[in-house]
Amino acid sequence: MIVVGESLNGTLAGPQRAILAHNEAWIQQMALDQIRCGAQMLDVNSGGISQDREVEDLVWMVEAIQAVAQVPLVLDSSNAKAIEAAAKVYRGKSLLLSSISVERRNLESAPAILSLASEKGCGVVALCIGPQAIPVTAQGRLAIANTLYEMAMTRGITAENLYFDPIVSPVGTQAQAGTVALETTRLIKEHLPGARTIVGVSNISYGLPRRKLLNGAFLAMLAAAGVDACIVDVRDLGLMSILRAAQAVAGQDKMCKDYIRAYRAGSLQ
Amino acid sequence: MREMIQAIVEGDGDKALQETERALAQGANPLDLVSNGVLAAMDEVGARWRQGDLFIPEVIIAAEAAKEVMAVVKPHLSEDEVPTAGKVVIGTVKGDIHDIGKNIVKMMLEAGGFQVFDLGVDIPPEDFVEAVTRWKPDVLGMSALLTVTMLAMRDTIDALEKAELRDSTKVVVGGACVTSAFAGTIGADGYAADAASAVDLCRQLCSR
Repeated sequence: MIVVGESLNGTLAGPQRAILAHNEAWIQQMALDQIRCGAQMLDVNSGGISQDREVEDLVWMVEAIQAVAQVPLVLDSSNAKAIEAAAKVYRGKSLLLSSISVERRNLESAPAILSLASEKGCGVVALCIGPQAIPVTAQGRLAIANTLYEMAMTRGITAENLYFDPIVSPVGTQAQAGTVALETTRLIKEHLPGARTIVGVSNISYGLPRRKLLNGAFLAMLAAAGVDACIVDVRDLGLMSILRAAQAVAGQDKMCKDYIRAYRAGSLQ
Repeated sequence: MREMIQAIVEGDGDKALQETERALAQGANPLDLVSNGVLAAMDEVGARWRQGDLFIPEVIIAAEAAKEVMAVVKPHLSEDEVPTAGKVVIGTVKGDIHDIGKNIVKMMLEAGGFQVFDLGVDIPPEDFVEAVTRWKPDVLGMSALLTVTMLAMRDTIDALEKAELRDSTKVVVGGACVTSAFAGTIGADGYAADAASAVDLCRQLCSR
């Protein structure tokens, strides 16, 4: 499972302050901290402040990070222009563009993002959201994934470069939120050969106490389900420990090498 | 009445209904049951939620219990007696389909005695204008979760102004990316950070 660090996101208070002040050192430190904690990719999002500056902020963030680390990035924005501009300054091959969907406001930008991904040979995140709502059932979400899959295939994206996000709602408002997300990833694997899955973990616990427990339980289930990538707070040692343990138990860690290595490094909690 | 309030706060719908029926059978004043019972219960729920003492699923269950009690008490009230805290039109703005937050606000408002007209998600300015013309709400509430969609709030306010309806209703906004400062720049009358604050804000605006 590819571990994506979630902490460079303008909707979070700390990063928001750093982005507003263009505090390069803060952004770079956060990037390095996440890499040290085991992040294999970093999500970069400059949203949550204002539309006027989202494009230049995302470009600025990418440049700041790349000055200190050659880590693959997830260019995450609800504004396609920001993704395009940031992809232009990005050096390196491994990259994820996030995201496309069939929501009305995204339909226009999806072809541009797909062309960009095809040209760069990089990955695209596709959201299982319908035109007007998030389908309640896993079958409904699979139908959306199907549409996006077709759309991507006709634009020269390989299945391996398509990362489907099943969409995670808070389990506190929708009791089946976790199981529907898990079932959606299973259906995608079954029906869309080669396609990958990516899941943002933290939303599951919104509005509930001791969120880390719920995030950890969900992450273990995602690992068991063979989800390809997860977006998490990698600086949470407990959560990362659960992931290492879950991967060992799920047979994804040959001879428990990573688990033992993490233990020796003192990073199991 | 104390038992009914407690049952609502604890999210025990069956007990809340039993206590309500019992109170009505004993000749309790239905109006009193609503204003000093159900509404008081939801005030307590809101306050305890904000203190971190209750959590979202509990708030949802309590609001459902309150709604059930309201349904039982209402037939005992005459039309003009039904206390309404105010009329609210609510929706998620154009381009945005997030509705979890909006739905919680709606539920809390209804449990707080407001009459709520929910337009749904991805609502263009002209539909908000039409709803304001039609229902003449005291408050119009808009939700947006994304920086790309929050500007649709400004477009809606502009559309209300063009239709000469801006002074007829108070406009309140909320959602993950929305701040009180942003609400100020687009000329909204208020901003609420969470559903409990949204209820308080609507009360304030309606009592003016």
